[in-house]
Amino acid sequence: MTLSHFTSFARKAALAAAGAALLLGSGLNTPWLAPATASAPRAAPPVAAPALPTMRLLTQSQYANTIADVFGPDIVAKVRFAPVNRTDGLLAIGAARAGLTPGVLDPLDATARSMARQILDPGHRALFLPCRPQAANQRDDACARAFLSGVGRRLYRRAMTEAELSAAVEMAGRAVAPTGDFYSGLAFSLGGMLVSPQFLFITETATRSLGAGEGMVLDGYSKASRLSFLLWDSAPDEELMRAAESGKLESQAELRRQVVRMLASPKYERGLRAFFSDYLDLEAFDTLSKDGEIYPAFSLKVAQEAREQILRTVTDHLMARKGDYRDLFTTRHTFMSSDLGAIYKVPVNRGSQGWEPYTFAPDDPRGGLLTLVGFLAQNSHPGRSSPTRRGRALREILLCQKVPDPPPNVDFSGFEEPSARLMPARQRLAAHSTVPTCRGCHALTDPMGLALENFDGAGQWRKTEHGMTIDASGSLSQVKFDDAVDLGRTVRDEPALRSCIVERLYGYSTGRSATAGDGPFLEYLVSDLDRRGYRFDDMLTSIILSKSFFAIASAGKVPVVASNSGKDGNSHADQN
Amino acid sequence: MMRPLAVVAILLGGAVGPAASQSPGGTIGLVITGWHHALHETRDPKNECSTGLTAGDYENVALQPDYAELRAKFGHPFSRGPNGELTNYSPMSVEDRIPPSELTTTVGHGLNLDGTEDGHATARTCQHAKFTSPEGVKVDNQLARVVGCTKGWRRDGFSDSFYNEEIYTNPINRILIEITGVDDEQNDPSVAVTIYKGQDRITRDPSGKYVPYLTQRIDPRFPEFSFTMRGRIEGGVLITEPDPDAVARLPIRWVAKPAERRIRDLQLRIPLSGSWPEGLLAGYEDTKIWWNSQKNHHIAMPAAQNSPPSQYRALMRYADGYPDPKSRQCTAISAAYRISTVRAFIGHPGGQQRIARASGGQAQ
Repeated sequence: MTLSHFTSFARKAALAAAGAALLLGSGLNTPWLAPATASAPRAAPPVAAPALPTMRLLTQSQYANTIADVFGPDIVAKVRFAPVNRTDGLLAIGAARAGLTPGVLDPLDATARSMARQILDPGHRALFLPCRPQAANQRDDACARAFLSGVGRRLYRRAMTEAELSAAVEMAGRAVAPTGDFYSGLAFSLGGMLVSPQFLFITETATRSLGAGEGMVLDGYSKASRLSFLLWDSAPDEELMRAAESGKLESQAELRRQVVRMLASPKYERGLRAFFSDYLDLEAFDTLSKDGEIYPAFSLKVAQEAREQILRTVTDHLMARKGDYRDLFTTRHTFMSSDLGAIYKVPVNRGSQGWEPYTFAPDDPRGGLLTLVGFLAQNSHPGRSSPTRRGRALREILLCQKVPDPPPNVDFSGFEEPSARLMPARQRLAAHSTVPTCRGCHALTDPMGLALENFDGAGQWRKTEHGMTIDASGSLSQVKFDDAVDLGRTVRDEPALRSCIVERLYGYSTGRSATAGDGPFLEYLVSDLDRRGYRFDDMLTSIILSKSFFAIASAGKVPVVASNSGKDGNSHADQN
Repeated sequence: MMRPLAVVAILLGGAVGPAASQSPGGTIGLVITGWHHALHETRDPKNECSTGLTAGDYENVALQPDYAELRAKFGHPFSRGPNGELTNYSPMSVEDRIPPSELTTTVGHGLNLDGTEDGHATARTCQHAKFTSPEGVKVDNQLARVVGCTKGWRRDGFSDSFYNEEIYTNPINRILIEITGVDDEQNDPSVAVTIYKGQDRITRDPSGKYVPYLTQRIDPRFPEFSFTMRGRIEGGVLITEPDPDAVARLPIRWVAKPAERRIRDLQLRIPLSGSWPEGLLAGYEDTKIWWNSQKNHHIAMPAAQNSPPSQYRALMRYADGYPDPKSRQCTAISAAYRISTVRAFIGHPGGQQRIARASGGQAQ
């Protein structure tokens, strides 16, 4: 049972008990989280239930970042990955259940071959080869071995086995014959490595903990990968690899030192952006479009920049300002591009490609993540706003609360009646609160979404709709508010916001859905962060330095190698 | 009364919220997106040009008896002069065989630039005929007589279309209008209007409409293209005052040739409502400078059905402004253009910019 199962179960129980309270929005908070009190004694952190190691398909950004980190920015990985299923709110968890079909593999293979040729072309080979072949037109196994073992270690995030290395050297040697070129042979072999499962899947391996009676933990390489993909969205660098190989990562002090080092690296921004891209469902912007007749200013470029604005706002707030995560929902600091300026109706003196910091004035109707064009436009219809979509996104993405899908027999005639389209959303959606089949779920979404009605489907500010002044009042968890900024303040103080970010970050960090056994640990994290504040570095550090982060379920036999096929998979652990 | 869209502030630094610092008087920014000769056109050109449209170089050269000889000797189809002169560079070297068509309509668009009702000569004008606007106002627009029967400069003609496409594609043609000191977009007795050369692209939506409220930065490399006027707003229409002592210089790039316009007594009449105001820009355009920008486009002239010998002669004949003291030949010609604009924020060099409230209003 995953934590989501657990919490869903708990929620259902709570709902049953709460009855009508649900309709007031009070029954959906995570009941497993008791509110922290300042005077509560601090107990030792509980340890999460160990889980099986994971095997995750690299994401597109992890693939590109790894190539750039290993081979430099000259070598560009131009390939689009097939989408994976979002699972328990995260693509990172879906990636542990993703496979590669031939249709997906073909473009990866072509890209791998192309990159390998570029890496070993005359302009680049000297940068990567630690040796020169005795003759450029003949095989040179010693030189090939030196190159392939070094590159393979970075790509596989571990030392290659002798069998892997021998096979790779042999492949390179055989490929010299048809071309008469040592480097072409190497490129052929490297191309194979770049499309191999060892590279494309982050495969975790468990080993028995050195501590007596402490069960299984990830081995050093797997720890390094888990750390690096979390913090840098890329493969481990040389220093982290050496720490993994030397066993230093077993030391809490060394682990802490590495975390501090990695958080101070510019690469950390990539990791932070990757998490929030996943958490906030920003891949939806890849397909976001608006009706050009209704929202002429909302171009594809605006959509891309709206996404970028969210990420810039998040990274600025959490990294540069060291802000509390919760304050993202009230912050007035953001960034503007010229094209976005046309939506916000503000000047941006940076030309068509530039960004500049921007601060909403204290009396501006915008403030916080919910009032950025990205959130507003992403959760709207192509031609109009949608209080329901916005409310649902707020519930499901930010508060980790599942809003049920509409029943199949919904009668939409009340909304499709022509005159209804000329009414403001609040009147249009009145049926949601009167029709019994609608009322239950829409009570969870609409009161929040209606607070954002001063922003149209493209996120542009408006006072009126169809000539009538918009009423932007609403409520969340029985807290009433008058407008979008007020909604942001309410969300900021909503307990479910805290438990949700912790649950998602933990799931993202470990690549798996949290289990019921993780509950006490997550509760502890929340209560701890309640005391210290939700600074992102602290959240990450708390998870990474906990005993839970690398803990692996004992399978009775080592080594345990992960499978990406879930609990029904054929991992060594399952087989034994 | 402060209208929502005019609520603006001058801000140094440009990175603080819109309501943080407001100065008295708002700003309206416009960028020119369309520029057409203000011609009175009906569906049948013979309504305006009784003899039809002007014959171009192709038709005229075909009637020259020495055409085959000139072509064999100089190779270029428009080397029509006795020594092979290209007609666009040496329009006086040859006369057209086909008499040019010229406007016969008395209806026209423009502004009354000379202040007379009959176009009699004054100290700064030559005698000329006035048009009567559809509203019954006597107006000056002698340049319309030069181009009004030329196919390329009429609506959707080659020259007109090509130039307007180049306004979109090339920032050399980026002309910004900034109206400052606006307290009321409907009626304001005193505003300042400054024209700048901009440097940024303008963006069209999928339907071809220009996207409003993008920021257009002033191009600081070209201060010579800045020009300030005084004006007022009456009934929502911007009206600027002419300044006979000043020459406005405006950039132009047409058929890939950068050039400029020089206009005296420049005046604007622009109804300001909405996000895409359209209005008139008028004044006395320097004839030599105008011809310089025209003559460079000899490649386009046949496509425009344009014949330089007739056009140049018409330009000299119809010139009605600023006579040369010695020759009394007027050196400028009254002109009027229909301009289309889109609302924009004007970005000033050094980070100074005038900004509007984010909540200032809805797009029109």
